[in-house]
Amino acid sequence: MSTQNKKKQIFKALNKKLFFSTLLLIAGFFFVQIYITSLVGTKSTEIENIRFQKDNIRLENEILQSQIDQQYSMENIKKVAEKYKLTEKYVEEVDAKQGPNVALSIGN
Amino acid sequence: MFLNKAFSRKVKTINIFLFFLGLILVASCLRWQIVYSSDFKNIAEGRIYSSELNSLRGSIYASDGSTLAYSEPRFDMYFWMQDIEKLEEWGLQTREELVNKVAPIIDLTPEKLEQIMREFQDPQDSNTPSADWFPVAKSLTADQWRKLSNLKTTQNDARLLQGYKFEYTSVRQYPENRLLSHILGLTNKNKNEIYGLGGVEQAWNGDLSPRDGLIIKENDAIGQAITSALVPTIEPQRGSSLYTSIDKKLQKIVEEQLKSGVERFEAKSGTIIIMDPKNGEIMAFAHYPDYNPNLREEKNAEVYTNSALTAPYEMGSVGKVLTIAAAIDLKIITPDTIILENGHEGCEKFTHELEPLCTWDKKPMPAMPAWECFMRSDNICFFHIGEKLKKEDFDKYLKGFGIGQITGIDVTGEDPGYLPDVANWNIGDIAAFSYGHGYLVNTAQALSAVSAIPNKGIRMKPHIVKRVVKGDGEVIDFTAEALTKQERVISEETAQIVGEIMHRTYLNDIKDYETWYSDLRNYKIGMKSGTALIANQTGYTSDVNSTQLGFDLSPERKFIMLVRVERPAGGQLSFYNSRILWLDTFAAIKDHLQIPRK
Repeated sequence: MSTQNKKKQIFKALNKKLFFSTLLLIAGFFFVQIYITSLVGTKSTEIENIRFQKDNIRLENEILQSQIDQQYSMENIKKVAEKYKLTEKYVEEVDAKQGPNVALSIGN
Repeated sequence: MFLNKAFSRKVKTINIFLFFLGLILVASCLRWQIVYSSDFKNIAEGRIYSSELNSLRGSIYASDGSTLAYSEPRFDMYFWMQDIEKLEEWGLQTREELVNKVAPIIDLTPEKLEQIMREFQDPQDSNTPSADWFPVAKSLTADQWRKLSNLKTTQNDARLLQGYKFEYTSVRQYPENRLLSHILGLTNKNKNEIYGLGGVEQAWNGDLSPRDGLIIKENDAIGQAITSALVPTIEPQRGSSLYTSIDKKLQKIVEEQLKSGVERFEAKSGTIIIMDPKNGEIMAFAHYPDYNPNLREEKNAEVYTNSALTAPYEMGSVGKVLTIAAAIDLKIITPDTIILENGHEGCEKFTHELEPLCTWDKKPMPAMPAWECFMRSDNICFFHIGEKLKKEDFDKYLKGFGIGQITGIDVTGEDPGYLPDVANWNIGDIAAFSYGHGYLVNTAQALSAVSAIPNKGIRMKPHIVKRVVKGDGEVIDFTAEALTKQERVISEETAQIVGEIMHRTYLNDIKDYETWYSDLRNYKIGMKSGTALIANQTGYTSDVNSTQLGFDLSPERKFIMLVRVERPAGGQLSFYNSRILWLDTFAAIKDHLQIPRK
């Protein structure tokens, strides 16, 4: 009888341990699940934001390139010249082929 | 014993529980996957979004890196009614604030914007369903897009106003307006795809066009992207940028000269092409009448055609350059060979069937050396030079100079012209070919043929694009390319001799009374003119095509220039129109090109 009681006690203790370990595992599983889900959920928003920002930067880059192209045109240079009243300065270029008395020949 | 019994009872209970649980799970799976499969499929598919990512068409630049054509980003704006209603329902923003904030930026009144929304939501036509999304503004500028993208809700100034989306488009801009219009070409739009129409835009369309990208995402029930279902974005790539050999300042000068020349000679059209004969780079290419590619206001469709390349013509006596070069190269004549011992009477009947062949002034001439025949552009002399050549040799040289074959210039629409099959040549053909008639060329072919003289007998492929910079930064440089397989059409010595004959012609063509041109005699230039009657279906008309070709013979060999005047008033000889335009243009560009004096 005492042997049976002893075995019963051992079984109960084992049963209790098993029960709590199962509970712990289930709880752990849920926590891990919640953690992963929240992590993935946050990351997807972050990835979305990065994608959005990247596309916006690309657009801004293309807008800037097109503004540079627009600025670097003769029409725009004329507008700038008119705005700041810039005038073309006459430059007489010294031609080495004219010989050593080039300054004199220009003067003539 | 007791333990075993109790244990097996518990295990049995758990097994039964698990069995039923499994049964419920299997039943649920079957229900979801079979009974409701199509519903779930629809929901899932509805949460997959893919959108094209567009980029811009490549730009075109002049030789100094300044812009000739570029694409300006624009944005089409769409309202998304489901989002607008949902956001209002959740109390995040109101329709009223959306309308009031958006309308002034897109240059509408709030009332007008409301009206647009109503029209799409409750269409008056009962057959038209209400739209979930609809356009509210087209072609918005980058500034407008930025303002709209940064609008915040009244309730929370950290939250962006939502309910609208943009489609990225572009507008092609030509900042120099009319400048180089025929060479640049145009673009057109078809179903959001921009393609080139004529000129460099069409010839280089494949390189200029951007590569579209793609973004695919799958959202969950609350509208957030599912990370595990993320697909890498296919990035769009901007079209390649083209760097041309066009000298913008030179082009401007040439276009001004051409316009005034065409108006002065009351011609139908005119063309000026300037090329570097050493490498085939086109420095300027003007054709008039031109158009403004930004406005496209010309009603006459002909104006949009670059007839300098698309409509071949007889170049007239300019062809004598090819005849004399062939005869000298074959050592049949030298510049001093007397062609007709007894001279001629101004006209000569060389067959019974054909009309007599005459010189332009029909005056009798004494015996002349070949160089003088050339200088005086004597048709009878040249018929006798042509007659000395074997048909096959003459054909070989004409083909070597590129007659009847496209030059491959990188602009759309080049016509190969026409050279009859040598097997069918008769004496009339030989006569006509000897003085530049009977075969047809486009202006680039005429320029390319004669360019062998300043370039020591080698014709280089005319080209406009020098460098391509791809969207990913890869650079492709185009090096000069000889057009003929054997490379040399004529020997260097022949080219030198013909060049000298053409220089004499140049000096002779500037008359003593033309004191305003006297300074131009100080340049080592070779030149030849050509006038050809224009034929129609019934025969030759009184209209002419007048061509002048000249080049720098200094050691630098800086340029070759073709001037063509189509149908000048009165059908006058090239001496009175294309020659004047050539000399005026040369006077205007010589300092810019730094042509050395003799």
